[in-house]
Amino acid sequence: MKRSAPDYQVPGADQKMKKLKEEAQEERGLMNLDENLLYEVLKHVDARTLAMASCVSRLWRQTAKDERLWELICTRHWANIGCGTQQLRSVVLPLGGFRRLHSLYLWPLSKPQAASASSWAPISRMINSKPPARWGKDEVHLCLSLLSIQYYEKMNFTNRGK
Amino acid sequence: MKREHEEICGATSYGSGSGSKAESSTIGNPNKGKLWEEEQDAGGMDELLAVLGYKVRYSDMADVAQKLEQLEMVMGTAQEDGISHLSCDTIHYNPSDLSGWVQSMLTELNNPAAVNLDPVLGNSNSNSSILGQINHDPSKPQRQQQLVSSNQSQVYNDDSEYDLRAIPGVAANPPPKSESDSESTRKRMKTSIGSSGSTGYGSSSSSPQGIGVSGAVTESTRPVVLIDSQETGVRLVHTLMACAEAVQQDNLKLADALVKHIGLLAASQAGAMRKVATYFAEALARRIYRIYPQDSLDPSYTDILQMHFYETCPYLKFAHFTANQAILEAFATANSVHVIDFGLKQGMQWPALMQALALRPGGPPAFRLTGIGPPQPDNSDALQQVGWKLAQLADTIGVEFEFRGFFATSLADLEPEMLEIRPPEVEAVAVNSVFELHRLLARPGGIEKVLSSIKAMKPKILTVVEQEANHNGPFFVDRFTEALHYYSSLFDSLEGSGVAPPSQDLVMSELYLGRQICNVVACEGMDRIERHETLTQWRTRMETAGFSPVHLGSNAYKQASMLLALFAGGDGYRVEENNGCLMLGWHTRPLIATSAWQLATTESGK
Repeated sequence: MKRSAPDYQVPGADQKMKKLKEEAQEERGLMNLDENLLYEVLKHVDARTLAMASCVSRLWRQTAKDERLWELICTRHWANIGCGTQQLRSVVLPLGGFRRLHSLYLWPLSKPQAASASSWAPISRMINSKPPARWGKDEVHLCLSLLSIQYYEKMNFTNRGK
Repeated sequence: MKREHEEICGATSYGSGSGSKAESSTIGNPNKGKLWEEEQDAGGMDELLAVLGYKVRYSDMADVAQKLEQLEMVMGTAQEDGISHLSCDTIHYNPSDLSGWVQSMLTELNNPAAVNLDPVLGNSNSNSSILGQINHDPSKPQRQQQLVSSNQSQVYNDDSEYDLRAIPGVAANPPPKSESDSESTRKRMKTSIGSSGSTGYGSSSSSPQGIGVSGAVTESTRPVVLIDSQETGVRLVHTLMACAEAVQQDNLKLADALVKHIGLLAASQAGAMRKVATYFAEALARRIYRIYPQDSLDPSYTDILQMHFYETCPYLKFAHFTANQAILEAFATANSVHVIDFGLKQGMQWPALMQALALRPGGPPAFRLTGIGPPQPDNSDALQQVGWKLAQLADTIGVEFEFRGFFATSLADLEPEMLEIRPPEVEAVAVNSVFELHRLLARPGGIEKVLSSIKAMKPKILTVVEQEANHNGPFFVDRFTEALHYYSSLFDSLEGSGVAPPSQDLVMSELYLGRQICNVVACEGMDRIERHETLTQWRTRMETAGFSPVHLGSNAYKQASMLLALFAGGDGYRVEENNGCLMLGWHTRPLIATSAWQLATTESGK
């Protein structure tokens, strides 16, 4: 049963009209991707592009913030740490999510200066400004640990005097 | 009385002296480049005086100081008109030659023939142009006198009654000419100076140039000691050592004098060295005056300090990560695990372990944590609060969690039965001690009892993190030296950590370390709980007690290295592997060591 019939005389009809007008306006120009299509496109971009995408508009930000997209970004290039997807989600999401995991820990770790500062440096690519292709097991574990510590620290420290 | 006069002289001329000094340095700036070149070519000239436009050789310094002293003595005691000819009549040929014109002043005094003062600007070198500009000023004679007296005040207002002969190995310290004479005069001086000396120090130590000139001069028999600022650091260390020696020999008067001297020298240093020296000086003072620090401070205060230390530098994080790695490997196949933490504090080690357990292939085991902590003075249950927070986290990530807290003044008070240990087939046990075991060395038999208790718990693994230093030797001086080197490295690493100086975290971290320093230096017997020992010593102890080492894997090493890359900021941190143990150090000096142990007679290997 379609509700968008313009002749429908109900109290909310005016609001409906406004919304339709807004949508019509948005459909002009480059912003004619609806959420679902945008999501499908963003599934294939790299981290940098995804982050930039969230700066475009409110709709894009809403879509680019989706944890599933960031989960793809994180797990696409990291070593198999042995646990299932659901298991991983059940740990990472409550602790802050993949987006946070990436921006706070995975991304800084993959930056060239972080890699070169450590003596062993398996991640040593410095091709333009592209992040390296992979995060090894140890990197992943380290980042997950740091995420959990950060979550713990942000919990209400009732005992910690100021 | 003469001393007092000198102090006054110094005090009044300081203001004008610094004014003229400032002036001379601003005037001198354009010529400074040339000055430096020439000074470097000349060689053997004191650099700081050179900046002011005076050329004085290092070798002449003692001589010049003596002459200045004589001059000042005369000026101080003579009537006003008795020396006015000095300002008008003396000819100075080479104003930058400090030695020369002081000498000419002195000869004038001895031989008051009227000579026209002709400010001849001697040599063609540009050095003199600095003073030349000053000399051309109509108020020149005043300034010269002021310069002279301010120089002198610098020479005199410094701790001159201290017997610096006791400082070993300092090349600039000439042997005294007549010991008995100096000693008697010194004793007299000491009693008369009292506290007025300290104000003198204040003024001279805060002088713009920061010149740490110290003169021990009254009569000519007393030794003159001069140093330049580059040697102040060396001098500081030597003074600290001398003070420690004095304390060990129970020569408290000397030690007291030296402690004050340390304070002065420390003020002329910058950064880490100053802080370390200040803390050590305070600790020495406490030892000398027997004002022992109260150890019964609120444990939550020490927790707070440790939290700041945790944030500022990677030592604690390193400790937690490496220990967790060992525990994880030991727990690889267990379905039910029990961790006993000898020092729960804020429980910062455990979220990461729980997270790692949660992501274990096949799901997390049931996790039981027993936390041990010191009794709280206000009867609040700090341990329970930490346990509750950890329980919340465990619930969030889906790990079955159980917590128990135990208050114990000393780990030796614990009995294994209290901890409800379940048999190894049911539950794998890990015992974790971060900076806790060394405290037990204060009580005889303490460590042996605890190690046997641990054995009774039948742990799968025992993780030990300790400071890598020997602060438990039998002789005070050795402990002192070790501690000085150790904490210097630590403070250095804090400075290099890239945290902005006025940060609260940094200050609290320094305070945290300062309390340790205080304990190592000032306390004795049961109160001295910071009895750090090296990894080698701990190894021997553990192996004697029936433990065999478990090697930490390369993934622990890698994670530690990455942690440093992410957090350390400075590149000075180094992770080292030492026979299966991991050590974190600053540059070449290892500072903490993580080791893992299992019971020596295990049936099934790991």
